[in-house]
Amino acid sequence: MFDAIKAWGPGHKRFVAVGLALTILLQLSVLALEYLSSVWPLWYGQPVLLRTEPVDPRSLFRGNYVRLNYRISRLDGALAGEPFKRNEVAYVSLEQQGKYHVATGIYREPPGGTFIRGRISPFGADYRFQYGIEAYFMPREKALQAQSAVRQKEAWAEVYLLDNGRAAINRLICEGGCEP
Amino acid sequence: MRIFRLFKRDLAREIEDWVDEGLIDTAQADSILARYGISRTDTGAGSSFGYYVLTSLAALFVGLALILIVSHNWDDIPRMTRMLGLIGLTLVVNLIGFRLLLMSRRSAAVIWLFFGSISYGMSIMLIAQIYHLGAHYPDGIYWWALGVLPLIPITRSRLIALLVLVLSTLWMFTEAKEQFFPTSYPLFALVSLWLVWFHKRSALLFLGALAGIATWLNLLLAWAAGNWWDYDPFTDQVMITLALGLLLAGFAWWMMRQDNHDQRDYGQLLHLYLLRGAIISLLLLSYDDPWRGMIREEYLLGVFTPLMMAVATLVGFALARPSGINSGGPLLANGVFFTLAALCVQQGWLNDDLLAIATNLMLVVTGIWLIRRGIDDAVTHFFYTGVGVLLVTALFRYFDLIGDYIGGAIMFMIAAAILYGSARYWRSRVQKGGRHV
Repeated sequence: MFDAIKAWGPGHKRFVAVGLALTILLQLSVLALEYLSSVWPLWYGQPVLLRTEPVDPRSLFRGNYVRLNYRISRLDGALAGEPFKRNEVAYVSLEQQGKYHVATGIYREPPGGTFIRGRISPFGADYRFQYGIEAYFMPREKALQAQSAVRQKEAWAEVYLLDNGRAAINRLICEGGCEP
Repeated sequence: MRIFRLFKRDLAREIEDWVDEGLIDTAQADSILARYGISRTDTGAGSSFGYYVLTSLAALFVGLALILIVSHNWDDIPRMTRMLGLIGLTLVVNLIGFRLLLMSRRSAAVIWLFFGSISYGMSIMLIAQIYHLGAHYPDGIYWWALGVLPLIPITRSRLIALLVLVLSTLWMFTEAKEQFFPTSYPLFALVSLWLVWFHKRSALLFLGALAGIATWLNLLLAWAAGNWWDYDPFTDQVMITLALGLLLAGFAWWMMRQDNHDQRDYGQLLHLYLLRGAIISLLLLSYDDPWRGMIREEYLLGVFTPLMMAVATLVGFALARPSGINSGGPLLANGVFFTLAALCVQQGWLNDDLLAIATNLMLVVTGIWLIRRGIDDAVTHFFYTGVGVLLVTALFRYFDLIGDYIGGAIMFMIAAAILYGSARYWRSRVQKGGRHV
């Protein structure tokens, strides 16, 4: 057993060939899965509009982005019928009021109707949510323009929701355009 | 076991000159170098190592340029073109590395696969950028490290292992920062350790992987204390980490007795870094504040913490003892000190001032031992470290008094008495042995 672990490696060309082929296959599978999980909600999801307030930071590997803080990112604890732990998965039911969808309840299991899936964190009497749609990547200049534009204008995000509540952001929209 | 082992390449270079000057013949040179597990070809002169290092750095710089190009976010270019372009680049670069490896051109293959690994990571980040994936960004780093991991056993390359270890460690810290637990980190560290233990020599990977595992164990303890859904660091962790250090110190001495030259070198390095770690720990604990904090805290493990420390001391001592008195003695002294200190803190037997004074005296004893070892064994590093420890301790206590002026003065007097007593004892031993220092 010990010798087998020690000898694990490029002793034979066949090991190298199979190993490299499997590694490339693993890398391509990771990329394909990431791609499919990103586009699936955009292909098969239901579009909703969520009110947002963007700010502009930089990611170490992905460049500049606008961080989107939604009206449903922080919710009143009274919307939850039971207590939640940090980072637990939770479902927020949504109801259309005018142009936007707003939160109506927080649940541990998927509720009926329109809902979004997120991770919850207690924040005083409220709850904070991460839905995975908080970053909108843009070229640096456009990100800065969008940030200053939404200080004066109303902004919202077009988000697609799958039946299981997974969300993907399609576009960021500002009243009259995202330029100052 | 001497620190000189760590400079054996310098020795190889020096011995080349001795051979050229006719001081020793080549057979003698080979015999001397064989004692340290190297040969005259290991001097680095004329080898392709420099070329390999510079090419690896060039590949890294191209990778960094690629990261910035991706970060620029060329939204004028269609999404699919950008994505397929980068995935295509990853595939082509990896296939070139693949082909070179099968042609047994290993160094060139490793450079291409290293660049391919960076390109693969950038593909992950590009997809995340194009589709605005904001959910839990450490996942991207994790999948990057995992996708490159199989290349370690396939190529047995230190460069690839270093990339995996850096990425997985970055993932461990970002995952913890986001209040999640990095469960699979040991997989990455253990594969790196497998490489450097069985096949390639790399002090950086060896120490980095061990430090990573020690950090992960601390995160695990805090995570367990937080009922497996939150981090709740607790005071016993300080003592548990010290116990781990004692175990590793014993392990270092065990390694220094092995036949394998690389393992002996790792043991020497680990010993040196643990010695520095022990001195820094003692210096931090030489203030009364940390002790006061620890006395006030609740203890999750209660009396099991000092018990664990005692067991770690005994196991470490058992591992170190066959190497002689200079190995087992200091380990036992430190282990007994920390065990008793843990017991006194946990039971509330001594106050913070007394524990700080005991730590300062322990520092004085450590300094004396280092000076003695430095002179007896002619190891300059230990001698100057010992002098440094005594001077830094004196400086700390002069600026930061324990108790009042009189208390500080008494402590200096006790330290002076210990120093003078040691000097007298030493002189009498040397005179008995008929030696001159």
